[in-house]
Amino acid sequence: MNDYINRCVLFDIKEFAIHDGPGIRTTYFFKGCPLRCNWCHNPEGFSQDPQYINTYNSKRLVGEYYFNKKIAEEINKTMPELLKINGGITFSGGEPLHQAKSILKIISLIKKPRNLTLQTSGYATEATFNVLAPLFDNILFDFKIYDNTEHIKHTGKSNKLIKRNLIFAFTHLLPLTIRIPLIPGVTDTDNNIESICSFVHRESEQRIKFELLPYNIAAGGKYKALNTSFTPLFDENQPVNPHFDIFNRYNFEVEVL
Amino acid sequence: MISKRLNDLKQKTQGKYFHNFRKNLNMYSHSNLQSENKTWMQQSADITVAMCHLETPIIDEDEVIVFTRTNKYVPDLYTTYKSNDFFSGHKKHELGFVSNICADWKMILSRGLLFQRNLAERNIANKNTSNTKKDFLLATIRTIDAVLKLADNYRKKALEKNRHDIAILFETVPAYPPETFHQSLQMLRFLHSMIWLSGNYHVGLGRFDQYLYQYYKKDIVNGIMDNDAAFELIIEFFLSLNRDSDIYPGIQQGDNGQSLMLGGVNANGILADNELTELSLIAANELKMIDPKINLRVTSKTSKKVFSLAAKLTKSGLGFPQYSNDEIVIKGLTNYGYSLEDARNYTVAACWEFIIPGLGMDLVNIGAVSFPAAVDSALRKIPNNGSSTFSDILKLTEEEIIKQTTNLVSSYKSIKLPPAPWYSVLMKDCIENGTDITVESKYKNWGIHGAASSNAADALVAIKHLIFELHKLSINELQDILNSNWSSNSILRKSIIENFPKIGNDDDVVDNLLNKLFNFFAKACLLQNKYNNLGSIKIRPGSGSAMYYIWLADNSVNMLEPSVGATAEGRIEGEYFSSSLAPSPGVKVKGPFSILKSFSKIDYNKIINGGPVTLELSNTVFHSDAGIEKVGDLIRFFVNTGCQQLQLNTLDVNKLKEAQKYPEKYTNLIVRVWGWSGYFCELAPEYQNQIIKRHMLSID
Repeated sequence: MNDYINRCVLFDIKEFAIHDGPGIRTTYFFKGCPLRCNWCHNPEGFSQDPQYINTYNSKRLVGEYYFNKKIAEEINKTMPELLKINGGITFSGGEPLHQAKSILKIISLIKKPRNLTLQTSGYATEATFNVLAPLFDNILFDFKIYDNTEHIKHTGKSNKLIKRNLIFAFTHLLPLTIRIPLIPGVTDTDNNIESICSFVHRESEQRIKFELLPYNIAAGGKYKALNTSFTPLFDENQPVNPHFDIFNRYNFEVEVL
Repeated sequence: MISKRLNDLKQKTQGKYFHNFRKNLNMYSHSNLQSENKTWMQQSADITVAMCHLETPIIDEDEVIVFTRTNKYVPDLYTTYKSNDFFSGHKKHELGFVSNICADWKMILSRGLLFQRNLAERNIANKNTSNTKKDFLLATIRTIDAVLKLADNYRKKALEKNRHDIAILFETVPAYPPETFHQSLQMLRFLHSMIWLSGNYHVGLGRFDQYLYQYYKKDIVNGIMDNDAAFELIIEFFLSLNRDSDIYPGIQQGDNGQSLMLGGVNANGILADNELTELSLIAANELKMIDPKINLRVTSKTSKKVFSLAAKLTKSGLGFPQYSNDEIVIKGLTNYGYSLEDARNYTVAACWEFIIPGLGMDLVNIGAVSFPAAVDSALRKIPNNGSSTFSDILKLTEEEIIKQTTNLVSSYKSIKLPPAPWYSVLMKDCIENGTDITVESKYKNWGIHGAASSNAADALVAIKHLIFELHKLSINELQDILNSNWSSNSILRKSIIENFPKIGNDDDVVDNLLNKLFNFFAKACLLQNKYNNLGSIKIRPGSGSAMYYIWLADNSVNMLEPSVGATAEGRIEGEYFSSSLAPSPGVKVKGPFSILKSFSKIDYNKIINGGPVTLELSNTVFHSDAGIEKVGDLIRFFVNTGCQQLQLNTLDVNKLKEAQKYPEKYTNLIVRVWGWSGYFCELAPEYQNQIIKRHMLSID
């Protein structure tokens, strides 16, 4: 069934995506993610297997196998028109790097010129990241929590790989934007933002751009439909703090999406 | 920001304050219209003369551009004298009066009415001028005199009210060409209103930013006016178009054809966007009222700034601007015999139909061809003998489309248009030639809508798969299923709806069928010159639907077009089709890129009567400035893909549902209906529901 060499699993293809990189784009959502962020608003991206989602009056299959070749063909059809308006294609998820072989295959079939954006949690083996990340024209890299214990508590995984991959991106001057989901009391703390900024300041020679994504109160909406429960470890109703002062102090460009 | 003065004026307009001045006279008994001995030409002029005579000048303290209509009813000349009915033995187009064309505003502004009057007089004095021509020229002079008299009454009233600023305007216009931007807008307001006053309707405003630019520029250069002042004037002019619009006839209120075109290339093919293009887009956005209906001509060279301003206007949810792609439209028009220079000067009629200002007496809407009915007839007619093929279905569909087209055109062969001497004063060369616009015009083609095309293409694919490829059903079985309205085949129906190829997914299999349907239609139109002996008249096929997306489905009105029951793409009887070019209702599609790519496969060299791709965007797209810029990118995508026309709507479904429940709270909520925008709460429920059900492309 899981013929990763020829096929990938997607849970959505979204045309006219406006928050997934420069210009307007088509975003491919790869299913499956190693992280379990307890604020995630795309829980259908957790498991790599297609699964049923129960909406209020019907049942819908989420996740479909696609031939990598087919995806590349589709991208090749639209890319020239998207390039004319400075748009492109984005791979998101889930965690797209979790289907690294498919990504590699698809990109090898996409004709140049092209504009590809990777939206990633950064959680991938160094080997995977080092091979794939340089293939993209932009990387939207999530850096959620600096403290490793907290990271494990809220996402289920250590952030060691994430930091290493981030340093790789810095060292190789990859075109990078760091995204921080602003989760009340978790990622939007003074301490966390300060630690992230200080780390980036120390490790990167470039002036890095940050994008902040305030927590979406509707995030829990899909959990019930997937027969799982939404158990946020934070107070959903608390307003988030973007800490512009800290970003400004480090002279980072910052934008709230 | 709108100034306090204009805001007060807007409040007055919305509060129907100006309706208090209406006199509601019964025009049928007016003595001026009682003579049986006059020619139809003179009787047509009588309407303008009488209506002008009966108007009372109104000058409000808050306005600097004046005219308020005080008489609601225009007499219906043609039923007054039953013994000599103008239309006896003839086809009457809609309400009878000349409609849905656009005056040569550039010409009339540059000349003034006295110039036209002198021209007419000189032409009468020429001994070679025939009596028929003299009759026409005399009629134009009578209408000009009546209009000038009314203008003078406005001047006098202004003096009475100590409004020398207004009086001085009328010392120049409309008799002489305007000297300032202010005067040009006053003249436009006045002459445009006189067309409505003469019984004509769907009165277009043409290329506003082009023909007014010289007046604007001159005042700016001379320091007579700054941009803020120009902006105020534009807003006031736009506002004035909303004052009397409830009187104007249409299918639903709001369908009044006050289309205004912005942008596009000039006679040399060079993009001619200017300061007025931008100011007008901003003004419409500040004003947020249903008139004028803004249209924008775009090219791949249109600036990012204009795209962004347009996207901002789209954000307002007024349902405009509607976008036309110059590169595609102009090529198509020249292919149909419009000269390159004229084609480059196109504007739109009431909805989307391309017309040439001043030069066209095109009847752009003589009816619709129902593609679903054609496919359905093919399915009913094909022999169920095992040897029929899908090509036979296509052949029969083509024949049905030809038949429908021929029926429509035949019904128009006896068309008779009543003379329109006043309108002719404002058209190119009518006075020079001594002929009424209804008698002689450079372009007098007829347009037909090609309605519900997506449903028909989806149905063709379903027929192809079910009968000829998968051999799942015989022809008779499918006919029976449709006769039973899918009642015992819900599983098959669901499978067709969910799994079969659909228009809107950039899927060549079904998109090619859509293109075939339109090619059949184009061929059907071309054949009319032979079948119906039309002389120089050409039939222009279009891709719009107007109200036919409802009419063809529910058979609720008496019409020539065939309605249809359940259809093969899974549609149940009575369910509405989609409006103009949009995926079939309820169909899941990939998104706006694929929708545009599907519709870009239509051969727009042949399909030139207009009819936009219609996309509904969720209002959440526009939350940031970056979002607005990206909507601008989507419009550029539309241009690059090679689609012809785009209607981009912003919808907040929750708000619409709220408005259905509590209409009193949402009296000013504006939505796009088909080629026009209207107040949501004033629409009939079936139109409201269709709007709520349209595809919505949301963004997370």
